[in-house]
Amino acid sequence: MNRQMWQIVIFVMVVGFGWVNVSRAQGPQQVTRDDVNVVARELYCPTCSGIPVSTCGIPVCEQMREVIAEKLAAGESKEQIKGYFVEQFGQKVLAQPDQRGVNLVLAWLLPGAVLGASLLAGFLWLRHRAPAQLTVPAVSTTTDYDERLERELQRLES
Amino acid sequence: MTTTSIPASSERQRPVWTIPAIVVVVLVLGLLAYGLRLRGLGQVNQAPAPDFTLQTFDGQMITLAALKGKPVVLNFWASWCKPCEDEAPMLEAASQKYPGVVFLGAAYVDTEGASRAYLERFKITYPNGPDLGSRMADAYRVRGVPETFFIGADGVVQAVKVGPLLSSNELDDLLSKIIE
Repeated sequence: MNRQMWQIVIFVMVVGFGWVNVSRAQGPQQVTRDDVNVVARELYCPTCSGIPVSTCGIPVCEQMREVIAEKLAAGESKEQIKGYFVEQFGQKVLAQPDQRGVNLVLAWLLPGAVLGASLLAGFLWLRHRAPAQLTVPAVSTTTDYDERLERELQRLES
Repeated sequence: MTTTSIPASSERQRPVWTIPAIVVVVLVLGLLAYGLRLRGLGQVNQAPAPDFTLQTFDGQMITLAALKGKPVVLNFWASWCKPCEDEAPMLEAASQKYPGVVFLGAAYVDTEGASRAYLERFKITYPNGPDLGSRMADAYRVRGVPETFFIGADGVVQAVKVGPLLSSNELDDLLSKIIE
């Protein structure tokens, strides 16, 4: 690449970087309901069980959606917003438990260990189970039919 | 008809899979027992009050341990809780009437802006702060709001009011349990 090409590349990069920064500095962003729901879907109602904030209709969820909208407008990321709610309300607001500390053990490693141990137990059971004592009928050398036939033949001959 | 038994193997081995199976069963039962134990625990009453640190909305740090020797009223509330609104003026009035009692408010699962607006609306002057991470509510095994704990000067919970305080007389009766 010649020198002129390098100059063009650097110019494009500088202009592009400047444009990104200007667009970031243009104050509050327009936040749609869909934007809010992207974050709200990953948070659960802290006072009811099993309802995502995106679909929950109680006042605390409404407040949470308002806060999400404010924080998105202020340029905060999804992870930052989730972190804020965990700090405020605790881990129970997360749809998926955090992968750190006790949660890493209780919510991720332990179920994995239980699943792994179950699979291992099942595999070993199938592989090592002792075949049951096989009970098969003894092979008869003479059957009732043969005996009867023999008797009938003897009767005819006599 | 006669039958003949055919031995399948020379000697029956101890099943190898029993060890992981036992581990799985013990883990699952242990978790179930732990969950049931937590559920079975009742409210904190007639027992030492769990210590806590409350960072108030104006930045003050209050610990229960530092308040030993003084009776404390700890109220859990939320701005979205309608029954809390009924008792808020009563609690504020009582905090003025009983200056020897420390009144504290912990905002449970509430957003900061809404909490501040609530405190302003009801002109609450005693210290209030967010129950960050619901740690206080978990320690006191709060089931909902409002819930109010009356802690004696010795640090023991003497009474608990689950639900809203219905009258100032009721509040006076409960306060009499912690005021000597």
